Amino acid sequence: MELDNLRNFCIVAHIDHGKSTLADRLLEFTNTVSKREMVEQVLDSMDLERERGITIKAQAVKLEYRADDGRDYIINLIDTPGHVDFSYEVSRSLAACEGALLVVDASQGVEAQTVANAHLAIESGLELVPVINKIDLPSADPEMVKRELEEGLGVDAAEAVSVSAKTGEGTKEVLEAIIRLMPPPQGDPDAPLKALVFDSSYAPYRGVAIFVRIIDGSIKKHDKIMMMATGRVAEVESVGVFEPDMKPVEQLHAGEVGYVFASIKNVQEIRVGDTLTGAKVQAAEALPGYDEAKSMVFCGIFPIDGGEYANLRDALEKLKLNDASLNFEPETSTALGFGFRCGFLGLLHLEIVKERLEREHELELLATAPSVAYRLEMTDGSEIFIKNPSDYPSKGVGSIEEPFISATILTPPEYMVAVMELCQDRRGRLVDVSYLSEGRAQIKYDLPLAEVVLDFYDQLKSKTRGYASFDYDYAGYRQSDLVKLDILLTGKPVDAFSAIVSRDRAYDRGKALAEKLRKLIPRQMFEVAIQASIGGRVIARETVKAIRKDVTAKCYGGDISRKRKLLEKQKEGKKRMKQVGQVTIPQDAFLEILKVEE
Amino acid sequence: MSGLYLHIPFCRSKCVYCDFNSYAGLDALIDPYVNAISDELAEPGRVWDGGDIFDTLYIGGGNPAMLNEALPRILKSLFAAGRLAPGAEVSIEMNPEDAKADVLENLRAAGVNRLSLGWQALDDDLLRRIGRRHNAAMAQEALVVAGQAGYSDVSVDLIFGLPGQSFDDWRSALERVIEAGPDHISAYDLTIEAGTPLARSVDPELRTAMGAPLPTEDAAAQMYEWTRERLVGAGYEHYEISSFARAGRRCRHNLNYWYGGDYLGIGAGAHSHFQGRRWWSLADPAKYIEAKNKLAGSEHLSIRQRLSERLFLGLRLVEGVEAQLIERELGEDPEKIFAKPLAHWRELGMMAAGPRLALSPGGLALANEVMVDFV
Repeated sequence: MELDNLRNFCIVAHIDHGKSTLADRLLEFTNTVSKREMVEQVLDSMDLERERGITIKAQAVKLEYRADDGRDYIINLIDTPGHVDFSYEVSRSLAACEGALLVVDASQGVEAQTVANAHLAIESGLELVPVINKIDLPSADPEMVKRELEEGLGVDAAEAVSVSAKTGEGTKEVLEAIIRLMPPPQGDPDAPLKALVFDSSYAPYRGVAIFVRIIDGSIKKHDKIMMMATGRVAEVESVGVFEPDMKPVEQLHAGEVGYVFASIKNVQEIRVGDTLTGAKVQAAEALPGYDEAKSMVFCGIFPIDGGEYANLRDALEKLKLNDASLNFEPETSTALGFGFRCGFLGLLHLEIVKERLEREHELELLATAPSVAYRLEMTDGSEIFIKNPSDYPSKGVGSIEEPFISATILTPPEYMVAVMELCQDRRGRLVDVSYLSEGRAQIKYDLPLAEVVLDFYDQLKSKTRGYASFDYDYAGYRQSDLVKLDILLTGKPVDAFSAIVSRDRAYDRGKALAEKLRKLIPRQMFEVAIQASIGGRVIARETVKAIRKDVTAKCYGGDISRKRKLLEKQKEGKKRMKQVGQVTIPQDAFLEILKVEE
Repeated sequence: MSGLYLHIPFCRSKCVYCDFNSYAGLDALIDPYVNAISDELAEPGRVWDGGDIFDTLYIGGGNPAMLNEALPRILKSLFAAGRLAPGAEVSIEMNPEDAKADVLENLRAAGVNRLSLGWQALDDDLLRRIGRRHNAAMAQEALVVAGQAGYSDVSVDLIFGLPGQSFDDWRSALERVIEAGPDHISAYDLTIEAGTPLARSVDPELRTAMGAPLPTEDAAAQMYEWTRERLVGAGYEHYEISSFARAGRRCRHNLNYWYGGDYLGIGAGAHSHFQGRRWWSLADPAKYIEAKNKLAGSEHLSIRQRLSERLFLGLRLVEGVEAQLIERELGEDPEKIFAKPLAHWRELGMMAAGPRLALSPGGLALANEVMVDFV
């Protein structure tokens, strides 16, 4: 295959703008997947992805297409996740491509992740082809979208393709635009092997499939290869392409996208972004690669049934086989027992991991409030990181820093005030306000990540009736005035409720937390005192009075089975409670207290 | 000892709190229903092996009075067939508006010797709010008429914790009940059952139901505690969580349930129990009438389940239940099997002192909390 007849592209879009549906149409149109085999969102292989309508893992697929110029082309599509949590996966995929389709919803227009993804693609030197999707909708306004692209993003919209991924209208035009507008890959087929590792995936019994884009040279079975960053050498067992199922081929050539099996058993051994080269004849220098995905959000995950601890560990290990960005280490909580402190890319990642653990591994889990990692400078000059508020030292803390993000929020102008109020309320600092078009303002804020991991996104959506969109970049650590807030039940601190909060708000927050807990904790056999304290000083106190009556009327007409079932149900309810010392706490409480309004 | 329960699923109208198997507007089914229960009485079939002769009969509903003349007829045929033991307790539920002298006399002549009057409340506004068809005067009148008709064992049913009911309302109602002097009083605290009009009317924010404020848990607890104190002071024996009786007037039919005894239930949705087997009929009256096989479901209780039922039923009785008795019957000692929860509840003072397994007065108000540990 001539390089000229090859194209590598990805699709980037804001969530719900129709990226996966467009990918489905492209697969269908090129007969990569027959109508018969067609399921919605072919490239989203996890049930969870299909259900939620999101892509979590990057996927690659090879399309064959005879263009209007009469020539046969091979087009590699690298599907990317659309959510901000997974933007590092987007940047990986971009590095394997020469072009990107920027899909924009014709009625929604440019959204925060459209902006973020477009910038990523432009920075990566990709040829950007705008695709205006959902033109079948009555509210579609392609001209408005073009204006927003040009004026707001500086993207040339002259060649934008209008499509309806739903009906399939415009699919062919998209393929033609890819061939006409995106450059073929450059590469030297005779140079030493140089291939970018853009992802990896664990396949049972076969080991790890390394997803590669060959830049120079070629790769085939029995080749000895080397990972340039780690120096690890391995022998190639097989190579192949994605159709979209894995299909072995003789050889992968410069410019092509495919997979490599090389007797590697663990995804941890693969560093995504690394460069593959020949073990004997090596490339002169490695590809630039990219930053490792860092855990930004942490929470404790505990089995409700303490006996499930080993199963939880096994399940986490299995998930990690395919998700290098998931981190975990054992944690012991006096309130919740044995579990793991887990690190995630963001909140969605957290939710997805928890849901997969519960669903695919049938575990009943309790997750503590998400938190961030704080950097503490101690008075003795040492520095420590804290991923769990309960690890906050009782003395010797000099100063404390927390991670910040640079947030981009796009909203209709009528909600600007509401958005800004929300950001101010979350300790945000306004950076910039501009307009993409008459109907769309772009607001930039620096915000502490800790303020975002709770319910910022939900709040933003509710305050703007769902019209605002949000994206962010990490902006490093900055010093803040923070204190540790403890919650005590019957005089004993409950570690799972500890939080690190800004000093200004600690008092209000403590009061609000105690009040919320009073509503969440059911009445028990004895009075329960709830206290909020900062540095050993109690700042708020609430009381849950002792239960006084719990008795049901007669067993009517001898229907004792019903009475038994009612008691069994009550017992089940109790089981779902967590015993913390003497106090029984509903599991919801651990999540509900996150939603405290001060 | 075995009991017979006859279920009459017809009502003139449904009360807002009621989730029993009873229906308004099915009057056309009454005649075929009478035939169906007569057939079932003649041939209970199933696994009932408790003999043909019953020590108690309880006719409940719904509203049994809606069967009119058929009711004495059924009773007479039961007696004629020798199905009721000499001295059997024969109870019937009756709403005050149906308690007419001739009706009561006919039933008395047919063998009914215990009457359970559905007073529920003694405040006209409250009665209206919960959908009852009688007023306070009719309730009190019914008790007088019952006495005149020769009944010496009359119970009244009351509900406390009703929407709009204050502690003082309840206290004054109970004083008038004591003054009227029934032989037996059942005082239930209101349970808001899912799916009832009452449940649908609940506003959790305002804490109201049927547009009136719901008593708080503390208020309802206070009502219960005071009820017990006052009725015991007035000479009633508190013998079960919700039941109070003058000497010798405990309801034997209900006691049999709490003792874990055997009983045969006849009629739509009626439950039966025999030695750890339980079964129940089709609940829908039309289906019940039509079906040849009226069985809707059954279960065979494990020893462990029987043990737990014996405990949670026995604990409803103020005198509780004897551990050795259960051990003799089921071969398992509840003191051993439930050693841990029993120790816990004893420590918290929820169990009464003494060799029997019984709840303390405080424990009675929190019976479910304790019983949960035995299922």
